[in-house]
Amino acid sequence: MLSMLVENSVGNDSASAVLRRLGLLADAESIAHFGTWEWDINNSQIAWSDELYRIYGLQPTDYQPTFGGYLSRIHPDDRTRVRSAMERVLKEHISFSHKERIIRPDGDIRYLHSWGHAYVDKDGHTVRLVGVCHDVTEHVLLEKAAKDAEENSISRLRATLESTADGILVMDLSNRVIGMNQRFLDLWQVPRELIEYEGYETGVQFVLGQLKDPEKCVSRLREIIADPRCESYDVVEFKDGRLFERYSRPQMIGNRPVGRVFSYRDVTEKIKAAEQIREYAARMKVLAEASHAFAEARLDLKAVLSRVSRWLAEVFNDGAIIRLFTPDHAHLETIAFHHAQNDVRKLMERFLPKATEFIDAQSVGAVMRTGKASMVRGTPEEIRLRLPATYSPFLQRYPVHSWMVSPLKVDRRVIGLISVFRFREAPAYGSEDLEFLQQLSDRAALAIDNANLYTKAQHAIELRDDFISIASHELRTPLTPLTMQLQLLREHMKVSELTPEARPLLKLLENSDEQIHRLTRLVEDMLDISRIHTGRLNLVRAPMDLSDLTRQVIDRFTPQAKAAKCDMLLAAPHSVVGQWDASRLEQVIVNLISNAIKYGAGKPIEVSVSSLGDRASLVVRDYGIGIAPEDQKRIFNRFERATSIRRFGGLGLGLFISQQIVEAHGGRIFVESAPAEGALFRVELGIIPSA
Amino acid sequence: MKCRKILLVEDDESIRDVIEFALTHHGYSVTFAANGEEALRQLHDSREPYLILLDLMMPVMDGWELAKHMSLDSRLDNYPIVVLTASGENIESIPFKEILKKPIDVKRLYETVDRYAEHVG
Repeated sequence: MLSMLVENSVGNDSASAVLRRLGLLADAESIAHFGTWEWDINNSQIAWSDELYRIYGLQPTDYQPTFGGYLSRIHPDDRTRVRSAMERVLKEHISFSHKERIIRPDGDIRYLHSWGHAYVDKDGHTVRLVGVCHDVTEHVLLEKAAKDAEENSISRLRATLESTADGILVMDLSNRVIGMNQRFLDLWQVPRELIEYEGYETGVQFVLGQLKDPEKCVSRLREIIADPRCESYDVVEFKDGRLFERYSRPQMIGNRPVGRVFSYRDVTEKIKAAEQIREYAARMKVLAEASHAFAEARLDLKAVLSRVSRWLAEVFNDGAIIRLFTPDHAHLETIAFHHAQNDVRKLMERFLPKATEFIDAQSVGAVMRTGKASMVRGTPEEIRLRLPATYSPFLQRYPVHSWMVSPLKVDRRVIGLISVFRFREAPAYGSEDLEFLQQLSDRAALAIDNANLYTKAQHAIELRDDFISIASHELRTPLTPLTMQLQLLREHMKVSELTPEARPLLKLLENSDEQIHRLTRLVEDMLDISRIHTGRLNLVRAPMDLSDLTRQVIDRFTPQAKAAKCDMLLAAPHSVVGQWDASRLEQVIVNLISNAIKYGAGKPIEVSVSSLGDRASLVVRDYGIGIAPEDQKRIFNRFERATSIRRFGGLGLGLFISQQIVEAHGGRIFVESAPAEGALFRVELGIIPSA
Repeated sequence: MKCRKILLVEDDESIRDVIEFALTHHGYSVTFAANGEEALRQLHDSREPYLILLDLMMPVMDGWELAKHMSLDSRLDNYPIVVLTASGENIESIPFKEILKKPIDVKRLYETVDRYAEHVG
């Protein structure tokens, strides 16, 4: 074979150059895995290059190539094809190129690419075939691996697409559908063939009928498509209430958009749930506000109810009517009503019956029997027939299709009814609406109950205050002459003029004097209480010296303090002059000192009067039983005392009146105390310079 | 100058009685009226000046009204007035100089009256 090559290709070149080139050729074959062969047909001789032997996994020493041997080494699947191709080459004297697989003796399969050419003699007979064989196994295997990998990733992508809950549609820039998942077809309820064969535009036309606003949806789609680089998000609304979120983003290769991926998600439930939560939260808020307002609305029942009706109307965005039974329980009277819309409200004023005969209509009757809210749904005509006839003019005017009634129960007695109603445009009420109405009416009933209780309590307080006022005036009237009479009796009863048996009467008279003073103070306290309550605690301010006044009071109380075995110490080194009501301040000092004696447990009482800047201060300190911290605020309340009423007498008004007097002066009174350590009362007053 | 006579204007008979007794016993000449109108009549009928002991709350004509009438009459406007009052009554509106608080302390009654009236017997 080498000699042939030399003959054919070398020509006149020198032998050494030829040999060198042959060497180069062998190297090239080896490097590129090219084998060559030549078939001398007349001599039935086939010659292989060394590289071809290597490709076939054979040794030149062990194997003599033949056409049959060649065919037998070809992979059975390729053999027939290769044989017929070669037969054609021999018959038609043509060049050839084909791919084939061979099996090496060790079973290894190689992929070959062969080219060949047939040479003919002058009679047209094929005399020689020459061919090249390229071992492309590595290349084919690489290609195969790449293809497998691609198929793998495509199938993974496909699986991913199909496993998402979103409907996915992939398009190229010419709006051709490149891919989609089943979910997309399910969401849009569109047949696969329609999209695959008719295309995207037909698909769009197919689904438009389902949409609430097809024009808006399409125009938005056009905008998105017109901008290949944009990302988009919008919500598609369906006639049947479904809502899809539509996301889209460009498919990019490098920096170049090549298509767009749309992703659709059915968010109907999610949005509905969110709306329900919002609505629920709004209602909870109303309930909370209602409870709060009801707690505050105390006096006017009608005002409370008109507030309730307004709230109801606004929460339900409907109409609300509140009716109460007349005292004979035979009629229902409309007390309050409201509608969220102004114009309807005005018409309600005209058409609602003002007072209506109570008819045991189905709905109202059920509410009365069960004490629970009830609901009527139906056509406006059905509603009209089921409600009291007095409502007919109103109901004929308005297409009410849903009506709820809830009882107002006070003390387990139904005192009235709350109704809300809805026109045809809005969906009928549901059970959660009914429950809400029930809850709100329970709160409203509680408010009515509270208003009643409050009115009663107010009335009781008024009665009490009236009684205190009348009683104290009536008690005081005879006190004036009685005081004077006792004084005059004492003055004119001379011990010397009395018989020995009658002399103790003098002591009794003195006692009476003390008792009458005590009685007078009690009556004055009661009078002050009613003055304070009616805001008639008027001060008569005049310049006065607090030190002087305190000294006078202490002098007056010395006998009493002595009787209680209390030493009274006064520290009032300077005069403290201000514009105060002397008789009222005297009341305060008397109260503090008599308390100190009363609760002082026979220990010393220290009193001091001082001033600092524009503030005067009076301190009364005892070392007696003291006041527990939890009682210290309470003792300034009306009728309160920190001690047992049995051990210590009095009305429990002294500190309350004192505080009122001090505060009327713009001052403050406070206590510092601990049980068994006594109490310190401090009065602070502003010094207003005398004009 | 001290008055020789005292006019007690008071609607409560028991108070009238006890004050009358106390003052008479103390050597004063006391007459009385049950309301402002009666008092005014007496004052017009008499030429002598009076010390007026005046209760404020009375039927027909109350103490405030009587005091106002007197202040407008040039003959009566300088008659001394001692107001007998229960605490808390509105005494700021008329600037009364002397106030005796009910229940009245007999000693203070004497001290006050002594400043304006003279003993007659």
